[in-house]
Amino acid sequence: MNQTKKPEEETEEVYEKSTATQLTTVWKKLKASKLAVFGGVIVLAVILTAIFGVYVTPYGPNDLWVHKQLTPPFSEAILGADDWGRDVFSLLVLGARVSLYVGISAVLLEAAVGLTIGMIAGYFGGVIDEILMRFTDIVLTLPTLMLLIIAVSMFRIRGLTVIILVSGLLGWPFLARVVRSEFLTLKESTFVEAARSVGASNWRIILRHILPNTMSSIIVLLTMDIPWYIFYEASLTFLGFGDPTAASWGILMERGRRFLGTEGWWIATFPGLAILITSLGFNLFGDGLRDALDVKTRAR
Amino acid sequence: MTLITYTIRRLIIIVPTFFLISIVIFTLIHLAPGDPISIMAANNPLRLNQTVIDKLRVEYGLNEPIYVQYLVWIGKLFKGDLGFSYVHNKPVIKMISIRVPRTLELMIIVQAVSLILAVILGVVSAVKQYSLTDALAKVGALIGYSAPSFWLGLIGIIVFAGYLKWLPPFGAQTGGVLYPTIFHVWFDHFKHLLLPVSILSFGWMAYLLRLVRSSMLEVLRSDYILTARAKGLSERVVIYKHALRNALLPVVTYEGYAVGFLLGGAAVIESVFSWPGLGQFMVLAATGRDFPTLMGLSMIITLMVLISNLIADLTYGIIDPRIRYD
Repeated sequence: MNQTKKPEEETEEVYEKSTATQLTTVWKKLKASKLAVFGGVIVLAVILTAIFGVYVTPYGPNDLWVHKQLTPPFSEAILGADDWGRDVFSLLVLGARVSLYVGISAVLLEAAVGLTIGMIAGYFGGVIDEILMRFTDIVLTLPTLMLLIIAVSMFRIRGLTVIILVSGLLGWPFLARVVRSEFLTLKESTFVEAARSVGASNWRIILRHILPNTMSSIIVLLTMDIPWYIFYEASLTFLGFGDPTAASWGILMERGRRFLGTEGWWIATFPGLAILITSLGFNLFGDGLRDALDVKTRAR
Repeated sequence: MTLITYTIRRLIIIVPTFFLISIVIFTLIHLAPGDPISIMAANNPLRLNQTVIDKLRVEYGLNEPIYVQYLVWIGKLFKGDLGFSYVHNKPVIKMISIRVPRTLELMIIVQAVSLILAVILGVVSAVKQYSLTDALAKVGALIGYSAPSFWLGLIGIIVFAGYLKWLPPFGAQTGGVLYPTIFHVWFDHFKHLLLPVSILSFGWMAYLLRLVRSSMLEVLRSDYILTARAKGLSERVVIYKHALRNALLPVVTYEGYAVGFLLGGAAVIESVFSWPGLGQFMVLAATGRDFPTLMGLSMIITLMVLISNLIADLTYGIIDPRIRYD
């Protein structure tokens, strides 16, 4: 999105800028894009809901029969009630925490594995690179959802942890490739040579000198990966492999599926809408960040 | 490098991948608590006593070390024996083989529809950047990849099957109806296909569209396009002959890697629509903890993914103007 740059923008970046000025430029560019601001507002709203939602919701997930069974929305219950008389709006607010928890944990796991492999492969090159990249290719082709289904159903632990572990451990290959290719270019640059000439160790060069320069692409990629993990969790839960104790959007949709006809369309509809809006927010914000940080990574 | 050596090289990479995945799946399933015999015993109406269970364990080789079990399993796999499902009391291969065509049909139609639409829309929105078409395509793509497909499926069922009653909500064929001609049967099948295909294609097209558009924009700015235009070639030739070919390369690469992802999405959609394909069967097998079926299904799906990768690799080789086989 907005891939074309005006020529004056391209020449602007020739000289080095201090971190503070760089951040101001990024912020200005972000603010200039309406879609990015829109996405950012959504992301912020979801984060705030996840953190403070528990304290402001009128009802909890275990408050049964606070409304009449299957109360329609836009009545005394703003988004209706489910078949146990629970308040759908409250459940949605609580679901934000589960989704965000899954998304962020899995992304952190992805970052840990993807960064390590990408950094080592790109920096050391040679046989190590060859082996790590073949391995990355293999993991990249693995059908994630299939393995998630096997893992979750086999271990009989219907928990978020299994979902986070498996999806995070399978989700890193793309990140690893991007980090590797950036390291491949950056390790030839003069600042790395300079660091090496004053006796900096390999790991110091990797972590202190090269890694900070790859942060833009990493941040953009990770931002846009969060919705994927939210999808995985919701899909699995919807298929019946989720954590029945977590008040997630997926579980609400699974319950609501039975009432799709006419008597309870809202139970499954609103959580889906919540996922759509959340993922829209992260995608728009990520797109905006990419343009603002001038990352050349292609859309996945 | 000839096309044959290129193919052989790709095939050589596929073999270790296949074994690696088979080992992962085998260990994963065997690490799990409860073995096939206990499942069988649980499903058996006659209460089996411990001596019988132990005897069966020996008979099925479940007391052997795990690597021996793996070798026996993989050996049978190559002979086309995927094991026996104790839950369904049928050979696994038999149940899978009737479901493969259903999933293949879904996959192929979805791929074709979404690829064609994505290329057309992607090219138009890249060539006419910031036009109304571009904006609409962008918004459509944004919704397509932000919306959970199973949710769209549910909405589709509510609207088109529940409310409007235009399309059937479930299955691949209306049961218990005798149609006068084969065309009626096909039409009925087509109506069942329409919703799942549209929803999967919508999401899939969104990803591809983004890719086509951004890579097309990139290619259109490159020097060789300027050269082509400078030569006085018509815009149509420049775009469709020179630019599109290069712009499609990342799309093909992506297709190769993403088949597994698409199959995952199909599993969810198949479950939503009770489409009798591999994905829905996998969900059923996992819910019923039907180990042999689950292992057999995983291997078949892995094989499908690997073959698709190979096809994508070869296509890449064919359309990339820089790769020459001779």
